[in-house]
Amino acid sequence: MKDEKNNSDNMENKAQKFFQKRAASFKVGKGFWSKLEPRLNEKQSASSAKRKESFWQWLAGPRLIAISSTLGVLVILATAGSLWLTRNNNINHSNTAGIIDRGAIAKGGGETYGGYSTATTVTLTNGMIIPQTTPAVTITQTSAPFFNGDITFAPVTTTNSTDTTGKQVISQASVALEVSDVSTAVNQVETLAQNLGGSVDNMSSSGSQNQQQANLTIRVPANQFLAALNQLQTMGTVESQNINTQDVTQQYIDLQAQLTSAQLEEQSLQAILAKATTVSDEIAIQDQLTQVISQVESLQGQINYMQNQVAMSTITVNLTTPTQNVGQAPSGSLTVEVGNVDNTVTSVKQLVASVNGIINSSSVSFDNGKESASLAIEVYRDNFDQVMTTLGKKGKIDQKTIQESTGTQTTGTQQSNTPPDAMIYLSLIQSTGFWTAAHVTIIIAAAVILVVLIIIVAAAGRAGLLRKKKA
Amino acid sequence: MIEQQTAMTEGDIIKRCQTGDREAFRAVVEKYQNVLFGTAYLMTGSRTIAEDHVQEAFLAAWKNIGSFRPGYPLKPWLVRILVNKVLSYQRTNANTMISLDDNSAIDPAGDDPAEDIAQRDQLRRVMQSLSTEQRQVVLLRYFAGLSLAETAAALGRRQGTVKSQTSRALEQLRELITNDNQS
Repeated sequence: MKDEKNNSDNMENKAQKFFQKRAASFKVGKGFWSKLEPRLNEKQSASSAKRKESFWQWLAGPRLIAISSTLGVLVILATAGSLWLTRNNNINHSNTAGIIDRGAIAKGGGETYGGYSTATTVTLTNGMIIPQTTPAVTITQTSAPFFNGDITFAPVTTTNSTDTTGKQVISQASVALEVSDVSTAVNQVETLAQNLGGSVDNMSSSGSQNQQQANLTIRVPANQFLAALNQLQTMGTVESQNINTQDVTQQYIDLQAQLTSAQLEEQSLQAILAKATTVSDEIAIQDQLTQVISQVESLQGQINYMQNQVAMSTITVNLTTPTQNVGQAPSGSLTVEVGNVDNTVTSVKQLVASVNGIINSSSVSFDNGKESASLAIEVYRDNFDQVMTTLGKKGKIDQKTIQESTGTQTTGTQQSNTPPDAMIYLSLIQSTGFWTAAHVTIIIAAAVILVVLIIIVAAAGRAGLLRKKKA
Repeated sequence: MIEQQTAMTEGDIIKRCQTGDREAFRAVVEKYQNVLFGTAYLMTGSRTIAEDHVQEAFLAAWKNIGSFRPGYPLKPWLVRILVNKVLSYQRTNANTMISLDDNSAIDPAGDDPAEDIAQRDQLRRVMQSLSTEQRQVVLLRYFAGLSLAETAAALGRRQGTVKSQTSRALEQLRELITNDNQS
């Protein structure tokens, strides 16, 4: 073995010597460099053209097939995708246009507001429908009948004086205001009373963080009564307002007359008493005098009270935060064509759970091999629009009806105590359309597989070519 | 030690070539032109064609010198370029291949020493006795002085194949080589 190796090494060395000895006899022709040098320029300048040429050579064959096929598939995919999107947009569009009619029919009871292309309507409790674009807040539902915004209080202004005409008028008002923050409003009312030269007679507040309430009784000088009311009105939304003016002139005159008469009687009794000679007379006069004095005091008290009432008007202010459960919760019904009803039901359940909603009922049925499901969902009012939109995106919308909330406040939030009460009736039917999400997924998957196959074939072809080249 | 110095010098030359230094490239050409020419000649059998191939090989080397990594030996790279040129030429011009027994090896310029002519002639005859594959392998291994791996890479064959082809060729040439070394 060792001998063999030595032998072969020996032979190699001999061969090396043999060839090297003769290698020196091979000499390239003279002037080789001078022939080569000018071509170095040509080679460099031609190199960019060569590179271009080699790019096309590189591209030719399987690579070209692979790249063009990939591009073709991508174009097909892009076209299919855009078609699908366009179709979906059209569906949404046509449904938006169709909503108003269905909405009016669904839970009508009022007149449809014409001339608006907006999709949703707001129904008030009195049956009047106004478009959503109108700020509903400006219309209060149970305002005092006489109060309609910029009230002028004409009757009050003429009677609200005690000095100029001699009339004695007691002005009283009670105002119910809805304010965003009760404690701030209480401070405002207190400041208002003090600024107008009045005072806060009585104050009580109650309620939780979400539902605060306060009652204040303020007294303001009679000549500031209107000013006070006007300023109160700016503090919040006037829920109700009651103004009561009582003309007490006659009573006042009566009381004054009774007082004068009682005082005269007192004076005469005092005079008689001074002239009394007997003890029994004296006692009898004294008794009568005591009664008269008490009467005078009583009358004086009544007059003082009346004067006070006339001089200082009383306003009872009731402050509340926006009330709960005002108006009707929004509701909607939706029929959606989907590719896979079961999967959609699962995803709807997840969606509803994610917004803390409730699924009241859920049923899946088969009819002629087509699956359908109906669900009754209750969500918080705040989430209603969002949920409706998301549900609409589950597939092709066949029918959509929305009955907007009639409440003007942002009630029914997850933070409040109100349960989710916005109803959504969802019907899912198995799609008969061509462009469902499932189809698109299959097409994409097929395209990806095709591209991979093409690449594999191209690579194999190239490898084959290379082998052939080498061979 | 000496080898390392040479390699370093060659590395420096390559770096200079990479900056477009023609004088450096001239040094490369002059160093390797004869071994490349001999290889090409023994592969093609024609002096003119061999010179053309050597020229093409150097042009390709000049063009691609930027991608060469200094520090690696230059000769195997050049030989590989040359062999590719020759083989690709032979593939496309299979019918016009010139036999090795022509006299075109003689430099037309004419001042060839008679001994050189005799040496070349002898080698030519030796090569003729081998198959094409064996000839290529022997040429690269012993004439151009490439290692087994370098030869295999230049010819696009497996090392095992090259090894067996070499040993078979040597077996065939044993008598000739032994006699020559003794003489």
